[in-house]
Amino acid sequence: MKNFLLLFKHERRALFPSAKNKKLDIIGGLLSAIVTLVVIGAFALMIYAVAESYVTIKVNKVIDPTARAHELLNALYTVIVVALGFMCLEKLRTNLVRKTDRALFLRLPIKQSTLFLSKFAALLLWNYVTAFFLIIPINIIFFVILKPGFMFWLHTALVFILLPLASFLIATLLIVPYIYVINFLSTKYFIAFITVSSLVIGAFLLYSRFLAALQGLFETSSIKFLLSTELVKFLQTLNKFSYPANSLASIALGQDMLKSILIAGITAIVSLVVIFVSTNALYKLTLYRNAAHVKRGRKKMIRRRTVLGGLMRKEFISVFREPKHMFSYFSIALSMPFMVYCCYTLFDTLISNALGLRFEFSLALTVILVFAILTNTFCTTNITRDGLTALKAKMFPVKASKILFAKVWFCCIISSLSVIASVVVLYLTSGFSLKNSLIVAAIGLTFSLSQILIATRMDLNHALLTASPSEIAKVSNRTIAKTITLGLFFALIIGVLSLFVAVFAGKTTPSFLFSIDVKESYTYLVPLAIAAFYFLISLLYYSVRIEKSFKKLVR
Amino acid sequence: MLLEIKHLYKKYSKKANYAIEDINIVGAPGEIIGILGHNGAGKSTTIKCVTGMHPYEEGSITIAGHDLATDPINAKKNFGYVSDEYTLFEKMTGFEFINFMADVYKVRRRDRKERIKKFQSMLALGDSIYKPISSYSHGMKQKVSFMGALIHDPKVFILDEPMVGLDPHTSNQVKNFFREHSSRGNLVIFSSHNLDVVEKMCDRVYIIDQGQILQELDMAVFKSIGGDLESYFLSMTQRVAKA
Repeated sequence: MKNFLLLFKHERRALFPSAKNKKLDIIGGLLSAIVTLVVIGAFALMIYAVAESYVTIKVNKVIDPTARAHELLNALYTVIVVALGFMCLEKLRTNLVRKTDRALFLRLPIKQSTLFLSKFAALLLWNYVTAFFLIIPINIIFFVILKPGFMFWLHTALVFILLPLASFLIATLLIVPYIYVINFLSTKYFIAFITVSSLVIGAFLLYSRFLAALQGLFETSSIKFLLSTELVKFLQTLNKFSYPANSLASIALGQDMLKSILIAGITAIVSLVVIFVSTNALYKLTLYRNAAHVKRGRKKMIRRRTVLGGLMRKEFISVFREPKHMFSYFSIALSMPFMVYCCYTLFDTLISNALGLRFEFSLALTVILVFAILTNTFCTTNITRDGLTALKAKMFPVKASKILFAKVWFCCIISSLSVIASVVVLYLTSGFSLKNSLIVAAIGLTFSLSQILIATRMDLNHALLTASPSEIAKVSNRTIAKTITLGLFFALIIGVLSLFVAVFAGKTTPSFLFSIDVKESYTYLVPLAIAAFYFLISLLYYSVRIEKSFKKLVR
Repeated sequence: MLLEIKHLYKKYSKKANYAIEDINIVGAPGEIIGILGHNGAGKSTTIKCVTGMHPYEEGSITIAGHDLATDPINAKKNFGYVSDEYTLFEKMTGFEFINFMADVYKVRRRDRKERIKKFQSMLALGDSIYKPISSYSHGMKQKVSFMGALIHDPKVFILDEPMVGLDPHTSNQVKNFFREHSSRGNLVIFSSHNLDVVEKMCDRVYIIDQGQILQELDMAVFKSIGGDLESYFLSMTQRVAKA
């Protein structure tokens, strides 16, 4: 028991890293917390708005709030079970199968079953904690809408006990094929890239549907248009077959309690048994051998490159061959033109419907700049992601400025391709003029480069080279929050000012302190000047004492 | 001299004590030098200062006539370094890594081809160099580190605990290579706490303890008077510990 508790503590620490951090960054932490709260708040408000309208929908000319709430709650629980299941799948792979601490523990006088149980219990705990943050906000929303009484919370507690088991079951059933797929893709970089990019574009496709729905919401000022007859029918069908989420929804709403508890209880017991038996077997299977089998690569010709070329190729390989990085940069950059097109079309329609005016240039500019910020957030790990190998670079007979320039230049190429492709898409699909396209591209490229420079230098100043991935993620989140805030500030200034100038183009501004004759050319010159100013600031921030900062880089 | 370390001082933080104090080491062409010490004695810190990985507070380091502080690029061109941590670019294959190092050191195509062939055979790497480094064993990573460090045929070859993780055959090959490399007028300098290897291989040995050099031994003279390195090292370090 003592060993179990000791190991459990170790596993728990790995899954829930301590908030203590030597490099306390108040601004970054605060911005990061605000961004998280805003995202959670936005989702909660959206679910509230949908739920409030959905429960008042008439089906067969009858309003039945409890039946509608059941359907919606079932749908939400289904999403949680599936999403949590997939998150758990990755946790299972990394903590139970791939983690290298097994080799260490095997040498210690600890029973294999104790080791397995500690890992299993910590993963289950992680599942419950994550489920808590997903279930509670949803149930609060339904409590506010339906006002069902105190018993609802007892039912919620029961749902909270049962739901994570169902998602753990999904993860357990899928873990073996999942490991095979991951191992297969681990050396098939191009296939992995295509797969990941397709998934990202698929996700954005869904997002564009959501944006289209949002467009309807703005136009009709009512959320009910979202809730079409097809959607209601779909949710009703889902309610019949989405097992065990439908039983959990029944428990939450206190319907057919005996039957629901019986079904959910049996599910829980079966889940526990299956989870325990299969993960135990899986753990034993992988305990003494590495799950991944690496085939020999192809022989290659020796090719000489310039120092910069070699450094850039190294950057490319380290991003392209790491699925996490590939997704964060290449797939997002590849999807950017698609996202820009969707957002531009949506807002263009909204503005022209609402005001009868079109601000193509300002709108395209703002949308491209915002997505350039999103794509280049990856650059906030330009140093950190190298880990200890960043120190190896200190031994190279190459100036620090050149080593860092290779990183900036590599990001610049990817980002520029993405910005140019976005502008080309707008030019080809939205009747955007060539002049506008060229100027938007020029501003977009300058702005992207500024973001890359700031993100890289910020990472150099705060790099944690030997920290655990969770600590690195925490520091990166703060750097990301700061980079996004700064970028958004300048993107909005550029967008708003270009809009302002466009409105007054060819006129004289109203006199506040002094009036200006706004010439047509100002529409382009003002945003160009601000982008150039931002670039100069970022270049200065990036360059000052860069050699010294790189020299200071230690573990 | 190919390596001159003069009055080197290093602290890990402003408030901390010196990790190394007044270190003085010289290395001539054709020599094999060992830095001998317990764990935490200051061997790795000294080596990491020499390689430019750690900044230092006082003193000077000159490699092949180039001062590391004022002429770092030329100083770095003249050494190759194998660390005890095998920090390699894991996503590359061994072959790609070696080629990358050759690009960084601007090695000619013909030279890198010759050297890759030579080391591939010497270290018994075979076709494994075409596999990703992330799939390598500890020993394999060590071998690829060797190749990466030697691809530009450095005048000064610096190693931190070089024999750890190597199989007996490779270990023997590496020792032979040390001799061959130094016989061509180069300097090999390595840290170790393996007394046997140091005694057999080195021309000169620096015994380091608590961040300071306790003794510099000329191994030819030491052996001629029938000195035993193990007992000498233990008596030296125990005397300091008692003091």
